[in-house]
Amino acid sequence: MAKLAAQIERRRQKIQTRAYLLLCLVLLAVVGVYTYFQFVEYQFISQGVQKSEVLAANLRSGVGEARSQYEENRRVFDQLDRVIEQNLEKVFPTDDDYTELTRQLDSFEESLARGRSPFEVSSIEYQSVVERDSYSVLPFRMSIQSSPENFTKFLHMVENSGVIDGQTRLMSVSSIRLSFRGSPVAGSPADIITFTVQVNAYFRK
Amino acid sequence: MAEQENPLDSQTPPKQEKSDIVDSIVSTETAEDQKSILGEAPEIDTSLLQEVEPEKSVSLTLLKILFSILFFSGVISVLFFTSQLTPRFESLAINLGLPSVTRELSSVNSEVVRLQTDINMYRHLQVKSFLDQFSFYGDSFMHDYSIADSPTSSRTEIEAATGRLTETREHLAQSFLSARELIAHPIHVPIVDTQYPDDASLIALFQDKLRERLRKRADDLRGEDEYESRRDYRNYMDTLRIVGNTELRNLLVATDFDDLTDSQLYNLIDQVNSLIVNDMSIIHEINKQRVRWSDIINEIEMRTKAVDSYYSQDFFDAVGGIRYTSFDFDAVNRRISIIGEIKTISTTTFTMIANLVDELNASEMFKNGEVRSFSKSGSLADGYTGSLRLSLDLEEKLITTD
Repeated sequence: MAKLAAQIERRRQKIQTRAYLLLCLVLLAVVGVYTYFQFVEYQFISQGVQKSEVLAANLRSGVGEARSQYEENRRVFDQLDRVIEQNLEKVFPTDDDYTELTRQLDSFEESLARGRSPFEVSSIEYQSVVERDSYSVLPFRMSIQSSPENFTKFLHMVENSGVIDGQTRLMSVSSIRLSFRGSPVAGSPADIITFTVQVNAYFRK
Repeated sequence: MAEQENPLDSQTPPKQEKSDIVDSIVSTETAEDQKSILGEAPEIDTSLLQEVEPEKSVSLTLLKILFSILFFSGVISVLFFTSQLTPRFESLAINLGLPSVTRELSSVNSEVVRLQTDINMYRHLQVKSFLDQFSFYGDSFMHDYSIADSPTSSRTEIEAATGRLTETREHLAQSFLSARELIAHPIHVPIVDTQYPDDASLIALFQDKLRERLRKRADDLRGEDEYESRRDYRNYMDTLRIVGNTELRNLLVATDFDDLTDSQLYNLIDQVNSLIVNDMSIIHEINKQRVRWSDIINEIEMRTKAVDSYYSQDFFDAVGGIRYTSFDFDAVNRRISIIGEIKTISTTTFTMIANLVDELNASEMFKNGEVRSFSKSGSLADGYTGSLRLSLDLEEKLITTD
């Protein structure tokens, strides 16, 4: 019986030895492979940290340069901004400002009526404001009697209105109804032109 | 010969029986014919050794130790790399003040993104301002170009406008090239992050960050009454529209400004204004829809003269011709109605009307001109007079460029 137990013990030790050997080999392989790949990733990230730190140092000086360039140009931008804003207040104001518009039209009438050719605005009728996506419109109707020459000047005044560095409110003619004899063109020997013009004056929202 | 006594036996009491144990441990056999002083050598019964426990295996012990070392190393490796490469144990590592490459990378990446976003913000704000300049001078340029190109402008007006075009062009070049230089810089920088594997994802990231930054700055100023605050708010909001505007960027980068003719520059200003939003681009959009009625009237005049050589020379009563009495222009429907009268010495009154219709339709400004009803009255002696009611449409594009 004792002999048998001893034999069993020796056999058990042999089996254990083989098992541990196998386990060690497997564990070595698993730990080895795991550690290798994780180390590769660790090294990649470490190098990434170093590169990013160098990049960040360069960007810090870049920010300083960009900011100083912006501040330097900003003086010029702000000046132009003020000029644009001042001009826009006349040309493309922030509200309908119909009283200023009336004064402009009156002033224009006065400048044309000084000459020999007549230009007489008999009525101005403002209508309801129309809202568009990025601007608003003040429609108004004018009744005018004019020489052909002044009629052309009036059209030019409206067609050329709205120039930023100009003084005339941005407008457009949406319809004209005019009656005359002969031709409405400047230089023609026509009589007085009587016309009703529907005009849109624009302003910012 | 008498059997010799085993010296070992003398110490023991005479045995009644034979002892197996003794016999098994010591037994001596001698040849009958030999004599020995010591007697038979004792035999070792190895079968007894089998009852003793076998010695511990050295190799097994070593293997167990090795296994323990490997296992412990594995655990350390897992703990180390998990703490370094994943967010697990992060709070513990922070509390213990242990470094982590992943945390370091995340921190430095955040700083890189923040710094580059600062640079992008300053650049884009400048691009926006240079484009405002471009729009400002572009407005003057387009205005002068229209005057120089208009058949109804006087010679003085044309000369003045042409002179201003040259000066304005220099300002346009300066602002355009400055904007181009800034917008040509890439918006992104490389960062080590698996979330952004390629340039497209990095570009999207930096665009989003820039928009976020501009919105935040604008929100901080929302509702302020001061002029500077309102101006800055508008600047941030307008700059937002430039971020990621690939079409604008491509237009600026691809255009060779110095080679542009005036007409091409006119088109460029038009394109840029359509791609950005500021007060001047809104004015520009309104201008584009505006109809130059003076040019329309002049064109009607020119076409009429081609049919009636005495038109507008006050010879209507004497030799006949065409005389208009009213125009009705509608910019909304882009339609013109003309009322007048035709007078001819001969009976070919309707021919003059037909010629007028054809001549007006031949114009690049008009289309669909028609007269559907013809009537006349008179006599060969006095001539014939017919009424004229003509309607025609405006063509879509009234300003022609090269």
